Amino acid sequence: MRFVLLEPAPVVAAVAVLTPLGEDVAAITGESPLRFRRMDRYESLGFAAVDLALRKANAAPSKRGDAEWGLLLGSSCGCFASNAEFFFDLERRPAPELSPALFSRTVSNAVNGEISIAHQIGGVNQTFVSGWAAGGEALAEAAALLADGKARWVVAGGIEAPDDVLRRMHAAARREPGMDWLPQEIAEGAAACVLTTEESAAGHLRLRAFGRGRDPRGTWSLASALDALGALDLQRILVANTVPPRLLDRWRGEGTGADFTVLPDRTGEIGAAGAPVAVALASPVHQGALIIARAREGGTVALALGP
Amino acid sequence: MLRPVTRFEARDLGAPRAGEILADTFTSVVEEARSPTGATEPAAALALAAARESLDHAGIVLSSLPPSSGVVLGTCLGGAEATFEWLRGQGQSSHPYRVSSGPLSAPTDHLADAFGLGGPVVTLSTAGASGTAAVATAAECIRRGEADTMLAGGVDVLSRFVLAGFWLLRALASGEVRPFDRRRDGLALGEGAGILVLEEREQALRRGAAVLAQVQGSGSSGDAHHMTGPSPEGDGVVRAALAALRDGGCSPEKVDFVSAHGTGTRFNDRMETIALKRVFGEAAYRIPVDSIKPIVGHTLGAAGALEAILCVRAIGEAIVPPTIHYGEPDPECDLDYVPNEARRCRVRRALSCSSALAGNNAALLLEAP
Repeated sequence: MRFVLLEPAPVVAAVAVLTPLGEDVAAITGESPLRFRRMDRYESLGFAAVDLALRKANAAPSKRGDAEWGLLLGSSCGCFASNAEFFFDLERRPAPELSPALFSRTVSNAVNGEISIAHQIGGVNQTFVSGWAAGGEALAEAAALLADGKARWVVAGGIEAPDDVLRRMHAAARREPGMDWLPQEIAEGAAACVLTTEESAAGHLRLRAFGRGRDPRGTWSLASALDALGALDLQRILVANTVPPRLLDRWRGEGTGADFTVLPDRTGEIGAAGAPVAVALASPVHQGALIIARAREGGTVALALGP
Repeated sequence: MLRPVTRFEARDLGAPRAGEILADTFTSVVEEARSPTGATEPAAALALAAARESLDHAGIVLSSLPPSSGVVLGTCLGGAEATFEWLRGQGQSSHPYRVSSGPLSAPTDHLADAFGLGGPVVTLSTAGASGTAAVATAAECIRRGEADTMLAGGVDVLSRFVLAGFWLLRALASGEVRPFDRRRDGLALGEGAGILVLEEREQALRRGAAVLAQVQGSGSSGDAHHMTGPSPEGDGVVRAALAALRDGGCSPEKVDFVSAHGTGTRFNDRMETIALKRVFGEAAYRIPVDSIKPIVGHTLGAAGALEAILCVRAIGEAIVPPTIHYGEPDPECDLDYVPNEARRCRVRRALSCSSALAGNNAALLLEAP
């Protein structure tokens, strides 16, 4: 894994975390319930997290389709609950009876569309679906775009909204040989960070560096990463997702001296929402932290944060 | 070419024509992918086949691919079809994707497994803009030093699911797909995979590779307008295209060719024409603009990748492909759409534009080496 040092390093101006979440998303955001009627759970969670993050940052696009604002979100399964609903409808009912509105929710970037329209975010716009690491991908890309001057503000985050179909898929995966380390359940959740290179922005934590690579056999060395990022004085390791116990034990050994937090021990496994939630955990502490988001199949994103 | 769908029942969906891969080819691609990787899912198989072809074309043998290499794929539905099949069987058997955490990323993971890729492995899903965004993201990985070699592209497989959806949206053409023509009334869907090998320039030159083109710039945007309809004045396309030109340090008048999204729907083609005029000004009238969607259909996640490949070929062969089935000019679409006949012309810089449901847009600027 090669690390990219970010200069200027974007500030984390706000983080909003929604996990675990009650049913009434409209009440959380203060929006009219009508706005959420056309959204599925995935879109509602993402919308609510971004809405809260923007309010906490006390910042918003200043014009229609503001190109200086970007939106990058990640999810392992995206809108698959709507996909499954449309699939079952198509299996069971004549095509003319199906809902075109439901079909329009079967693209994983639908959540980006709803948020962009509501907040007039007109700049860079992506949806990452790289497994559980997708939220980390969104944060890494957002930070890189900001450092490159391709946006002034980016909202980046992760959403996970498992339904019954996804739970069955997960249960099937757990039955496979060697996969018993997977958690019993995937919990739902969403989290969003407002990142910026604006010097005037509030926030004391910055995204300093990131690296990503695929490591299906679990050979990635945390010690090497900490060596490579030594100048950032990373005193805290936050593991955002469930990883095989053998790998976790090794990382604990290699991260000697660092405060070690395994996020799923606190929140349950929240997939792509894990990385931005880890940013929320790191934010109140004025010290360097390394967040490791790892997909089940080995896609790994490491995010270094520091004052 | 577009023809009636044969792989699944579509008569109740108006029996539309589509860019369906020939049955024999489809079966052999899936079978070929099965033996080394266990991938039985069509999207993974198509992506693997395209990736092998692109590596061959680049003169890279798999064993010499650096372990830091990565892949970025764009897709709408990824390997969802395998999951649907699994659900038809009540989900009793093992899941077709043994360990993948999501059906969307499964083709990318299969490809990474098959090729032993240890660098960035990313899946993007921004509907019809996915492929363009994937090539742009992979190019950024190289520019930032994350990897020296990246596979980049997109894949989607035609299914009853997606055909029914576009039929419900009343987006399918009643006959021929006629982008920018006054008679246009919709799109046709297609399927496929397109993969490009992107390589750090110095590394490519060191190994004596024939550099076909350079990814000079990219841009993306959100329409922030409507979930299923484009911004009428093309605001999102303008932002993405200008961002790509700015990123590539290229002034609009230096662009020689535009590969348009050009779906053949009334709203898209009008919007795109307006957007191109806003980006290029008077120069818009002399730049050839084409759409290959009447030939291959709208291949969704693969579309942007196929169109990027087309731009590379246009640069290399000094020929721009035609927009076929063009017959009656539309006063609202009054650019040079290269009607019906391919045209010889020198292409130094090509801009490829993609748009999507939910308002995503992406643009890619490719330049002669």
